[in-house]
Amino acid sequence: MFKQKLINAFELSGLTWFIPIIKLLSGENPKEQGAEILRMLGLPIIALSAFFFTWGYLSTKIQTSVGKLPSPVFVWNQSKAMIANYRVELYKKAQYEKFEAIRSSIAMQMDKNVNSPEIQSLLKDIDGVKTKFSDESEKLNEQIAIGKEAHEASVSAVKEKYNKPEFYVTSDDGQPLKDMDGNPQLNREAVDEINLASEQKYMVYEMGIVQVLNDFSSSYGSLASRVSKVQKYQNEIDELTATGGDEKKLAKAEKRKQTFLKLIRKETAYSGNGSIIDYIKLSIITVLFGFAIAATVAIPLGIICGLSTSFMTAINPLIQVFRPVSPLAWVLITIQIVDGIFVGDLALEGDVFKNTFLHAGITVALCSMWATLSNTALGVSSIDTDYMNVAKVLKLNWFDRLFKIIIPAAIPFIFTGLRITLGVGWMVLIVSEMMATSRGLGWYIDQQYQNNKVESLANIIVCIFIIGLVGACLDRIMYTLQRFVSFNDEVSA
Amino acid sequence: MSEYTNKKYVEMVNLAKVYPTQKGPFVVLENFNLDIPKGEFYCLIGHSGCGKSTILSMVAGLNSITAGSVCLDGKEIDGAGPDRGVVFQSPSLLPWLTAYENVMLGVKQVYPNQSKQTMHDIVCYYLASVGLFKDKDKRVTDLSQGMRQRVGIARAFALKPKLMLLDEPLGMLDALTKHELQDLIAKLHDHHAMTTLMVTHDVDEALYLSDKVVCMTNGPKATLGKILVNDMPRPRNRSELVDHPKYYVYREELITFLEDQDHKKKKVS
Repeated sequence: MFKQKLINAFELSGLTWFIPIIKLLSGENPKEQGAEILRMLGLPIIALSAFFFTWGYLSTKIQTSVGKLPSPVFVWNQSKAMIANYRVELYKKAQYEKFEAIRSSIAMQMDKNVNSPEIQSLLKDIDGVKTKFSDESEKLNEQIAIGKEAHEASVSAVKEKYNKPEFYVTSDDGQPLKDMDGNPQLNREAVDEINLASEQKYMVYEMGIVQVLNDFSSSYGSLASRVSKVQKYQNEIDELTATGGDEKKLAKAEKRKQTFLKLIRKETAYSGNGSIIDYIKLSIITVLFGFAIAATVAIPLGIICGLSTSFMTAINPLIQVFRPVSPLAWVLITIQIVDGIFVGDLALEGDVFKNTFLHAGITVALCSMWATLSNTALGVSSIDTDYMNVAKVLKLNWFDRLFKIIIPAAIPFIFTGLRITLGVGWMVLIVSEMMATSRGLGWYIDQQYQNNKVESLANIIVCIFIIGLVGACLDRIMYTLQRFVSFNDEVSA
Repeated sequence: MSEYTNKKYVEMVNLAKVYPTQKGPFVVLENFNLDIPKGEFYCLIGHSGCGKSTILSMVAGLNSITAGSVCLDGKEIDGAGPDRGVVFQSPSLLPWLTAYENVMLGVKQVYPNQSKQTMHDIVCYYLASVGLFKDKDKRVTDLSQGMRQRVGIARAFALKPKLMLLDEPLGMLDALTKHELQDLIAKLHDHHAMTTLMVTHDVDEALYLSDKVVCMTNGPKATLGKILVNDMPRPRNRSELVDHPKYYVYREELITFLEDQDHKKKKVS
């Protein structure tokens, strides 16, 4: 039955608060399920509201080094601005691809014949695109103007509110001090409030799109002018050859034509600023990379440790010494070693696979592998004697004993270790990205910190929530896997 | 095969088990002598802690022998091996495998040169004979306790061992399932005529299944008390068996023995 399958799936993943909703939707005992939903959803909602209320209250009281602590509303607006930036980035990428398609088809046609009708029609297309762009940006500018007005009105309302004698800074003799423009100098609280109001983002998406439209409008413009330059020189060449003109002039025209042709043929590089979604993606890829290294090293080592007490005794001191080392210490030595190996021509310059990616990934692996190592060793060494008796009675050889009995029996332990490893890895990742300047969430937080504005503080808070949410999701996934592979239901949530 | 090895198919001579403890050696079992003829069903009965299971695990090769020796089919045993099938008290199945795969694991060991089809047939045959053919692809964790023990029995029989060792295999089951499985074991024994040594503390079970009931004295220093020859005709039927004139005589004899052991134990303490 579909319903039961769905309920089982939610039970497996530990998302048990969905279950009463499904039961309710299928019309099962509405009163009881309603009460269950109220309990499962209501209580967390109460706790969350209490949290946001406290935060909202504290934000009016707590003074940070860059101004007032951003309120939940300010942070919410900031996160919307981040999403707007991401959408602008997507739009920009799409426009870039369109532009490249037109440029490369022009370049191809030009190689055949610079004055072909195809080129004329492509040029017409460009004109069309440019008019469309200017129409669009005009419309957007109107909207922006409205938004700007509203924003300025709210800023001046705040200014008005604080432009009162009780907010003036006075000198020792009670006279209000004047700033450079001759206006009364406001105290810190007033300045912070005004800054907060004026830093409030507005029309982020629209402004971003207008910027993109302007950029590409000029790109199309210069492309068209290059095409016409080539055509002009071609005409000159044609004329000179027809009239048997000066060799020198001919060579000069040819050279100029080639210069512009080269410019048209050259692929334009995409210059993205990166957006929060890119940072999240990179961070997740990095942590999974580190996690994969940790697993490939720790599981086999753990199995050997579990099988051989001598081996365990031998490497135990190393484990004990390296396990408590802070990621900050690991990341520095990792950076130096990686940069020592991948240096000069060997330096990694992939989209994702950069030196900095290795720095962060390896640090994650170094710090997080220990949980998997010790759990695997424990799982292998504490194998149920019943299973070993089966192996003895059947006289299984060493290989079968290991792969058919010992490792399957240790799988639940291994997955417990892996779940801890991924959790630790995600925490370590943020720190190592800060140090390694791998362009993930950690790096972004550091960038924002250097910005030293209330706005950036709000961005950092947004990132904290993102980090928490991603971490929780990763843990849920591991939890589900753990439940899936375990043959007894002893998994802690 | 000679008459001698047939009569003494399993031969335990002066078997002893001593555990070293901090207070000195602890003798669980000493001077235990028992011969089992080929094809017979022996039950080992006694109070808990009398070393019944110790004997069984020594014969299985899972527990080291302190003194004495165990021979099976004329050869002294050395460690565990698939010539002795064991059914443990807990089913001891591998929970990450299906019923089929659990039985197949043993079959592959014992018939290494058979074709895949033959091995498949063997596994299916034994699973069917314990009544689990249609559940063969279920994971062990999805089976009931009784079904798991059936798989355990199928796994042991599929090895075609020379000696079957049953270590209180029905101890953890409810009364109904217990009866079903007793019937199953009786049926399999009648069919395969497998030499069997079974540990139990259930007098009725012993009388229903065995050819001879071996009574153990109480531990420590437990040893063989008496052997009761259970000559009630086979195949047996549970309801007819209770009406058999010898049934209550034998039952009385066994219970008296066990109660005597109890009294001795109380006197000692």
